Amino acid sequence: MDLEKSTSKPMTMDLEKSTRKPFVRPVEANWWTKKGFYLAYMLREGTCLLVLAFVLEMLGLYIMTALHISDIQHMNQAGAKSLVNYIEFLGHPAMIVFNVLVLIAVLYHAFTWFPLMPKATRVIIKDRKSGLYKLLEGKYLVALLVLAFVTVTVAGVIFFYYPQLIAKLLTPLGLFEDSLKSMFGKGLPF
Amino acid sequence: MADKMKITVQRYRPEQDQGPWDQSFEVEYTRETSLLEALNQIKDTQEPTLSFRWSCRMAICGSCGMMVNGVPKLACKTFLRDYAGQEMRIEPLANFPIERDLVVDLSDFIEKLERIKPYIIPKKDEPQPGEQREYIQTPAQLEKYRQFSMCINCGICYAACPQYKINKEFLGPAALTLIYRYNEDSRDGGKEERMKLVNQDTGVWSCSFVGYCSECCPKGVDPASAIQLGKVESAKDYLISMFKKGE
Repeated sequence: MDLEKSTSKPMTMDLEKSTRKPFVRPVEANWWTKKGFYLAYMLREGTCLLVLAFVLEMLGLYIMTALHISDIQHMNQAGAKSLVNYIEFLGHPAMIVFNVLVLIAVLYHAFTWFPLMPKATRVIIKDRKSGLYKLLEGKYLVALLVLAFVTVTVAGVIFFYYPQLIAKLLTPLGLFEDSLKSMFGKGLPF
Repeated sequence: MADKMKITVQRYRPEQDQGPWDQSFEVEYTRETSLLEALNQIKDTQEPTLSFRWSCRMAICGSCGMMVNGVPKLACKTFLRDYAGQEMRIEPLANFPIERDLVVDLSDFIEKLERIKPYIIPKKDEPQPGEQREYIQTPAQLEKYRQFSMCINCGICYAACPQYKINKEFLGPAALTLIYRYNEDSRDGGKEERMKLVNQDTGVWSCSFVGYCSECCPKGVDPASAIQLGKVESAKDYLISMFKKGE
């Protein structure tokens, strides 16, 4: 073949003759149900809805308490009727079932999130990616102990230095009233 | 001792098909038969028009990525013995347009790889390309990015990623991993340039940490880890930029 002729021809594909027709697969709305891994992920993300409901439940309690703070201070049971009703509503078996569900959801989130945590850390010791990375995987008991230690320490410090705060938080709920009274002797600080 | 395996392959011939369709084959296999060998056996003896990409047969070229029973895998690293007693269903790599049969159009992925400047950019005060220069790197400095440099650009992490499935603008696991790999290289000075891509909506923050990319990666690169570390870098970058004036 004439070299001149062959090199003068552009090296691009002849679009007239191309039968290219790339097929784009549609994204189905239920793609995440087709694989256990995706489903587990969506369930983990979905736990936020239960947590949101739980936060609203708690928010309701604190708003009610704030609205009736003077009724509580004056032991005005009749005035705090709606608060009492709300607390009774929280004690309803259905609400207890709901709260157990929230607890299960939060635990599921924690237990599936925890193994992912080491991915966001990188420790290099003695020229090698450290065992810390692998060491953390699946160490729930260690995590629980550390968490318990931190919680107890923080709570202890707060309780030691700010007993009034704790008393304020607990009294509206009618919790530990007697034991708090005996602890602070002179009566509650408000 | 040749066992038989039923392999269903998704076919698509652009010049005559409206959409993909299935074709089943029966192949004999031994303990050593890889899926790539089985496909070549089908092409040689049963269906010569079957198209698929392959080259090295040893998990280094990254050409033969495909969906095996819904999981993105390298055909050369997948063995029929692991599917004994089951059937195999082979589809082209998910989340990419199908060009023909098991061949997909990876151009979007390739463009993203180019966009992130996957090469060492010399630091400003150091000798530029062409000038003589010896780079010295300690083992500890190498270890910072070594794992993330093992990527073979097979595109399997993109097929595994639901975020890329629903948003093709997302830079994706491999490209973000390579950004981290070059940014962490002690010889590189291009971090500032690349952080712009990391910080964008289409950068690390489009990742919701599903983690399936790391599950599927045939080279143990762990892209999900690189992206989470990239989020740390992006957050630091944002904080530092708050104290820089005139930018």
